[in-house]
Amino acid sequence: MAGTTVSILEGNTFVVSDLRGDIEATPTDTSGFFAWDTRFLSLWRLTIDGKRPNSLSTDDLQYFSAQFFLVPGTGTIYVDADLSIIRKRAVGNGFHEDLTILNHSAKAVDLEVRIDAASDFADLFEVKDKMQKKGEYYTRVETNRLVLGYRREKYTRETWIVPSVPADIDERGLTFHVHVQPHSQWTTGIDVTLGYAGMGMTHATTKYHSAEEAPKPDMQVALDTWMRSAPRLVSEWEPLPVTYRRSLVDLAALRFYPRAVPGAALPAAGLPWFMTVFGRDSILTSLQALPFVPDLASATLRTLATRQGRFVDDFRDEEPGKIIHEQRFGETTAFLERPHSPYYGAADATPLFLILLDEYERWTGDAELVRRLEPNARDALRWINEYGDHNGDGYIDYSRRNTDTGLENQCWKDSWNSILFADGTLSKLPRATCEIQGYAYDARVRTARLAREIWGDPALADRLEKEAVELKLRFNRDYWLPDREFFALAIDGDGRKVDSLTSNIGHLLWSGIADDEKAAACVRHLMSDKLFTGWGIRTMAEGEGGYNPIGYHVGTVWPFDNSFIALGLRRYGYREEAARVALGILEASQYFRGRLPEAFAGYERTRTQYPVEYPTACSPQAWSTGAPLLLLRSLLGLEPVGDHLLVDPAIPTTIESIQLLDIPGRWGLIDAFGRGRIDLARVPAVEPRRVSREAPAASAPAVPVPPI
Amino acid sequence: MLHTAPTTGDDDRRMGQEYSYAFGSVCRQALRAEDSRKRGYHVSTGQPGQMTQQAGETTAGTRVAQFFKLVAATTFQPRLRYVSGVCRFDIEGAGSWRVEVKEGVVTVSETSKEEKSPVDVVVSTTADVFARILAREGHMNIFTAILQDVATVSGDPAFAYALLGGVTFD
Repeated sequence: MAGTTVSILEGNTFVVSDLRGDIEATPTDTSGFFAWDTRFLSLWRLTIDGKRPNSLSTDDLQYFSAQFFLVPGTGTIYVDADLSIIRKRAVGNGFHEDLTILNHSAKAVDLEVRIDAASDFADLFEVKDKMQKKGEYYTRVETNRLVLGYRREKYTRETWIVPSVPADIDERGLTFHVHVQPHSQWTTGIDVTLGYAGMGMTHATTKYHSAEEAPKPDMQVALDTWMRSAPRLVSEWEPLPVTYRRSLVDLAALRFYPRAVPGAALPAAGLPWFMTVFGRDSILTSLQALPFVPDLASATLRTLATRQGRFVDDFRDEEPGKIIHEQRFGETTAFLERPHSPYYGAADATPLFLILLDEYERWTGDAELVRRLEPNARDALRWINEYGDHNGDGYIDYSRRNTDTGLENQCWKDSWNSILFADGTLSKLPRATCEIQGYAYDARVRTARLAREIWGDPALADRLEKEAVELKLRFNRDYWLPDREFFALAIDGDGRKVDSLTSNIGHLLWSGIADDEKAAACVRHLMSDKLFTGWGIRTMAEGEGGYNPIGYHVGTVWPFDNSFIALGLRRYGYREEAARVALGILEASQYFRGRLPEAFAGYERTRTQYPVEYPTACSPQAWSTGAPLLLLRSLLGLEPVGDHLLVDPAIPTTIESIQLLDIPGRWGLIDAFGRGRIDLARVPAVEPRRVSREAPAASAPAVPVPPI
Repeated sequence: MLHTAPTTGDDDRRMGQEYSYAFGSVCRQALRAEDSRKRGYHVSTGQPGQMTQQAGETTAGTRVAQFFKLVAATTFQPRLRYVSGVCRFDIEGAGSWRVEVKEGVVTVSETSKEEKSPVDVVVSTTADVFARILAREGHMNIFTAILQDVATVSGDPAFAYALLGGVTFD
């Protein structure tokens, strides 16, 4: 599909068309005009005298607008076209399209211009899962307006199509009888709006109109401010500024504006299909972006708090104190055929919420938000201790309550076959994956700090620290595989250690739960050829029974995964290894014009020479967009220490130097500089010698290690 | 299945002794009891004491009015400290209420649809639907009610969702 479609969006409203600007969706095709997880147009096709024009070029430089330059199909390059057709489209409260026909000849022309329109009102899940509609369709021709509708009980969705000049309207579209004088032009505007009574959107006018020569939505104005407010990056290594700018622009596009938090935006998970509130994705992206655009974290925390679980609800996998996984707004969600209203099937989002709360305060000094969210944080802690641990063994595990439509895997590797034994067999539910125990440990350590320093509750702080110490002891005992010298991927429902070698062990470094000597062994595995491809660390090691270099969670390389692993490597003092991982991912970004995909294939670098993209529906993907930012933090060794920012660069010589200017935080604005001093060509990827020292507490700064 | 609070067995332990529950739980209990027994039900709120009512005498409108009366009786809702705003509930067959939240302090006043004072969110529905939302009957919540077009909202429904879920009666 890449290169054959044009997507524009604002918020959760978007249009995916072909290069002509046409939409011809099949029931399972992903093109169309979508809003609130519903396809409001599945057919939008332009013909001139019964023929479809051809595309000359497409301009989709703005993510909310696009222009399509077309000519009538002459069939040969040797015949000049006498007509040009320009479609200019901007999305916002529906979309507005200006259709202009230019007559370049010395003769007047009479044309029949036709727009065929239809809608299947498909839910996003129906598009994905080939589901059948249960309601009924209708159309109405009104005065200068075509209404396409769908009704199921009281659920009603309508698409209104209104041209700005008179047209013959029938139930299948609009026809314009056009007379264009020589060297002249004809234009009509067309408003396409949606009716969605429940959300108070009953055919509101579109945001942009024909009279507006240069449509500029609020988002674009904010983009300028957004870019100015982020730190400025200077580096001699050309790919880095390109990737950095791409990340900031894409993060801006991914901003989702919850109306409950006026003026604030949190990162949605992916564009265009995941422009909605997610727990895990929004939290991890906010963590990645904290040194650069800290406001995302504040909005994420407050937005997720509004939806924090209060009840035990099997259908939604909801439990008191639990942070949501995902929220949706389509028909299947409305009628409880899907549980996303909202859905709570994520076992890691709740401890991650606490981690973000602490990390946000460490960077920004915004203790007031920590005070306001204290009850929510306490509820999250209670979830970790009570609901998160289903079998009472002291570890967070998951087993979906909703066995019909709930998610089987409720960790970040959420495909059904991701938690496999070394022989390739599937582990049993409930599963307690290792990285979630790391998050639970880190959450306790961090929340203890908040309890002591901000909530004035030393008793809670003492209790959490005691729990964290005990958890760390137990975890290093229970999850360790002495024969293979790494931590088990999970403990499954039969109490067995899931013994595949995976990238999950890297997250244990980020959270600080691994004992030093065990961390050293894990690092050797992470940097070995079995896991490290040269571009990054695979999700599952080559040689494991379930390994597949193009398997979604069983062999591909995920940039976001690597960014947290790199930070974990820095935490334990593995400077060269962190630099190697960071450089690999940043070098890979060059092949994607700075926009890292969600994942790429796990082929070794020497085999393919370039990273092979794994096909995914969304681009950009939020946590891939955030990955370069977190890698920059790793390379510069940025750690808040009280009201100061510690800078401890560990930069490969390839990058030469990095200057990051005006880093916002509780210190005001500060600059960080670093020179490339690590010659990775002289340092083996897997080094037997390893520093053994106590990992710093989560809230403490990384201990500076002298540069090589 | 949808659990009620308090429940028995394992989930009883999980709900926790200190975990207060929203009036929604109370309504849910009530509705389930009503459905199953078709007789009087026992409403235990923890505050301000216990009330016993006969199902036959209790309309959805009455239940909705009771909910807002209970909310009005509370002053501080800790789980709402991070949100501020005003939500008006226009509940056909019950009345209109203006609920203001400011850093956890909740103020409830009866009002009318015609009231012109500014609000951030307006939720409009029938007493029957709103009672079902409070009781989470059939998994109904404010989001699904809006999605099904049996309730309408202007402004962010998440504010109303947080408000209804965050209000507790200790």
